[in-house]
Amino acid sequence: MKNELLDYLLNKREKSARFKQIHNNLKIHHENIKKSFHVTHKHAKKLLHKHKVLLGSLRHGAVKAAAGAALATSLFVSPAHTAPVPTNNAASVPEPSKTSLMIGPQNPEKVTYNKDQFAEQIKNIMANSGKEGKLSDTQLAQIQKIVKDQFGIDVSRTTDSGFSLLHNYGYAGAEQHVPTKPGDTAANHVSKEEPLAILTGLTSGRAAYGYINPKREKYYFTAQTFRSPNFGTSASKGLEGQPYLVMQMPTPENGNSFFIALMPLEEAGPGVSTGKVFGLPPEAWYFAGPQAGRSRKTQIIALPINGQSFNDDQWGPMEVK
Amino acid sequence: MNKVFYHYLVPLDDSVALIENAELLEKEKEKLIDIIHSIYDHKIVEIILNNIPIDHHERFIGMLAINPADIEIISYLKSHNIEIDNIIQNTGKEIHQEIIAMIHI
Repeated sequence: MKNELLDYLLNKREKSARFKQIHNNLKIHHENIKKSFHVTHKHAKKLLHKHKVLLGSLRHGAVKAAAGAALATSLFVSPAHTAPVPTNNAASVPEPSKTSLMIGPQNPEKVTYNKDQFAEQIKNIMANSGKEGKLSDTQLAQIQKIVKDQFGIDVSRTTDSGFSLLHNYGYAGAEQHVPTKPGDTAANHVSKEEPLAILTGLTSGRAAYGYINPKREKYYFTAQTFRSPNFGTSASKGLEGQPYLVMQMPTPENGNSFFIALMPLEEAGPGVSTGKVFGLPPEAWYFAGPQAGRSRKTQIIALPINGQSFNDDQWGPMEVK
Repeated sequence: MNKVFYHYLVPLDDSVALIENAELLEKEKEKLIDIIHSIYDHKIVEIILNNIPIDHHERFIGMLAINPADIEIISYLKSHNIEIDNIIQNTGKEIHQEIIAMIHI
């Protein structure tokens, strides 16, 4: 009993000494880092103070509660920014009002567009967005509104399980075909949309989630799931086949082409070094427009669809009436 | 508690795990973990400021003030320095190695 007590006390003393040693080391290092920071970036010290940002406590969240108010006003879109552009066949659809994209109780009415108008809306929403990134809250709200009005589909930044990709939009490159069964060959993938399947080729291994149903394989898309902040957490489980709404961003580079498609997420990629953040299947280049078809590269927006399931005949491009 | 915008680029969880797995009292662990977070915050913000033009420092800090967990911050930084995520990744690895050295002395 006496020995046990002695062991306990010695152990406790040892642990306490260990803590002190680690604490001391880390503290000295920490102080040096802070000094270096303030010497190198004197102006930043003032900015941090001005914006009430406390380094060391970033994980505790926003220190300033201005975001709510800013968002509340930013959801209302400038009419000039979103005014629809009339097209030749605009007579066949209701002419949207100039403020039709304002989100909020002032404008709850449903507005639909023809394909050219819809593409123009996407173009306006994504103007000056850069190569890749996350949609701003305003952009997301605008896209949610027009997609819901047009197709009755709810898109979001995250899946039901809380998974979100690092990028909501960016460049998509060309993927190869992926095997749909053991012993599959590229020749099995020849179709009207993909007459050159043999040249396109077939990946040597299965997709990230296994063999894909042929109907899904035709319209699958890939995303850099491994770059997501949720990657490896419970939120990233069950992603195989997650429906996404994929929209081409009309740009001069792709000849202002536009498509909108339902696509299942079936594969991880492309690699970071490619400079692209999504991958489209060989068939997609059939409807992505001739310029994108030639370069096999185009910018897209990809948002998960929640609360809806689709049968395998529904995958692929959607008609904008 | 939120994850900070740079979290997925650095081995912060590994650094914290070194403390979590040590035979220390919970209170002691909390103290050390706080210091580790602060080391990462200071070093990562410093390396970002070193690598984006000074004109964009205030916008970056303003974004931190609104939501430090917003990974859109990385997109913003990349628009000013395409290599910034690699720079943060490398700095994160260095910080982790330094912390390992300090814990296993």
